[in-house]
Amino acid sequence: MQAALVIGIGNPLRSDDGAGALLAEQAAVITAADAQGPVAVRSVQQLTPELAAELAALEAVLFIDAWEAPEGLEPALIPLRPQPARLQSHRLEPCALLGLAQALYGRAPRAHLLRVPAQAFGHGISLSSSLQQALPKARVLLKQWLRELHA
Amino acid sequence: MSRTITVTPLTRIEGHARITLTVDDAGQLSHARFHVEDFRGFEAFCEGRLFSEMGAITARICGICPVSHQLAAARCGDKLLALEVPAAAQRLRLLVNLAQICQSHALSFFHLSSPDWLLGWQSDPARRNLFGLIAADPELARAGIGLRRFGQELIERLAGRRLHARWLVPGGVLSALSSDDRLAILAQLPAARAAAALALDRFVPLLDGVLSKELVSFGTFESLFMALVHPDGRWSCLGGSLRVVDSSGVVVADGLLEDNYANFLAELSLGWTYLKSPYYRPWGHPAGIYRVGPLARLNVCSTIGTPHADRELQRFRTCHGSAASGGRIVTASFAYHHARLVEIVAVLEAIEALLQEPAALEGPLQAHGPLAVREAVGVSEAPRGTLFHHYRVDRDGVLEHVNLLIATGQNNLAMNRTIEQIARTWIPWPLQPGQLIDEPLLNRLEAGIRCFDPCLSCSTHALGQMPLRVELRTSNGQLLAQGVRS
Repeated sequence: MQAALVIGIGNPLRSDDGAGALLAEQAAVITAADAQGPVAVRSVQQLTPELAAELAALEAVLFIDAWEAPEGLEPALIPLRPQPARLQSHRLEPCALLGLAQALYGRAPRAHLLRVPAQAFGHGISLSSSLQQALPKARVLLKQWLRELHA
Repeated sequence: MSRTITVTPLTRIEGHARITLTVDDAGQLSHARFHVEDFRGFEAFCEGRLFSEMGAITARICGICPVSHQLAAARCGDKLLALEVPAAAQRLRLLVNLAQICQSHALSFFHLSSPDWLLGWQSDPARRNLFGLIAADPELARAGIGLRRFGQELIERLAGRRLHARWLVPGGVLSALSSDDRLAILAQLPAARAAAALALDRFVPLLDGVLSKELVSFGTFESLFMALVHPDGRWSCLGGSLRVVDSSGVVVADGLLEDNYANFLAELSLGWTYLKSPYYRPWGHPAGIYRVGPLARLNVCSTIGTPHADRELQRFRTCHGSAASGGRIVTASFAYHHARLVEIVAVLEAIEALLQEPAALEGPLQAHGPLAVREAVGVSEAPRGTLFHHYRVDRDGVLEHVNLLIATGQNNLAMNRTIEQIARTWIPWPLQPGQLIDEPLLNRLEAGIRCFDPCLSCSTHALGQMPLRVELRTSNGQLLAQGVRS
């Protein structure tokens, strides 16, 4: 059984929206370097229902997502709980995906969202200066989540 | 007083659209229209790029069927370079398209459409979704999730990523399927087959029961049907040539090559939607209305060619085949849902057959060569129907002209006929002034569109060719001003 999964959410071709994938890559580097337990890493452009089966087999999951936020806010690590939601197409919010896992497979993992404040979502592969300033704090929170995972 | 009833936004489809019903002074339906309101213009901004980039570019039109676009782009590239794709690469390409059809049909059937009939048209719209389905029938919901995951995982194991992989290229594919991946997928096949069987067991009896009126009123009409078939008439999702049949089962045209598509397909632009309306050119518009996708593929093929799927094909034709065709042709658009399940059975059998011959998946994977011709058309059967990519390039391979003929567009005329039939059948005409149409009826109109599982992201294009009409009307419908760009 896979113990934990880091899921970076977003489109790397949409400027700051690529922060999720970037931090997920860094999580992979950190876990490989520290030889910490079985943490898998994945990047997705959006959360889709079939991820529910994967989540149901996990102990813990960390979603990382850019968030269009007012200026001045900092990255935050937010605990999540499963919630029911409407599915009108094929994408889900993290809490709804957890709700799907709970409803279909009887369990959902312990879950957190690393929410990174972002301003620029236009076409491009570079990150805005404000997001770059937020990255060190986001990395601290990422490492904190990984540490607590193995505490 | 005439008035217009609008259903917007349409839910549980890929993209954004609107339905309008225009009611005349007598309270009778004048016409029903399906409006696609997003303008994307992909063809125009592809011009100036290298043809070899088209797989990557068009796959990013949306995340629903990137494999289909990559296949059509790769096949276009094969022709521009005059390459013979190695046999193993052809099989791997087929494998990824089968996986794509499986995951896409699962999304459409289980997630987007099944809540309507399993929970009921009258059910609370807030619960008429996947979560409602989970509460009502968790076993079926798990089956749907499992089938979609199966298809997605096979795509990922083949191409490295579920979305936007750079694996399908002109001349072949970039990598083989490992033995571990092949065995892992084979191990999942029994559960996938059981999921498909469960869905058929749950759904087919409803078509003789609570859904029998929907079956005859959700777009049941005569039209042409078009799809790829193998030379012996077997079902195909990649390779072969195009066949057109009519509602009586007569083969109207056979052995059509995609290179000549403009000779037998014409594209009509209408002023009230960004979605083009192709028709079969020899029959003209509107007689040349045709349908593509799962229903068309099952109508067009002689057989599927695998035992379980052929049994299901026979049951499909026995259940829904029209009397006029001797039970051979199914004209009901509502049967698209049943057709998707039959195709899931078919693709699972085809995947198994391919995976059980590992030696045939090995060997050279890509051919190489210089630019040989300046114009080519590539075709594949996407989950929603036949997909054409047409490129013309300069001597450096830079695109000078691009035309994408998308399955959803090819079903546009049929979708409009479908909502008009639903409106005439299910709404109590004449409408009295101020009389409202209740939500279950409006949902039936939406469900008529969902039969076709439209994906609007890539089907709205043709920058510079779109006639545009802007009308300014008072609230009682009086026209104050209009501007027309032709």
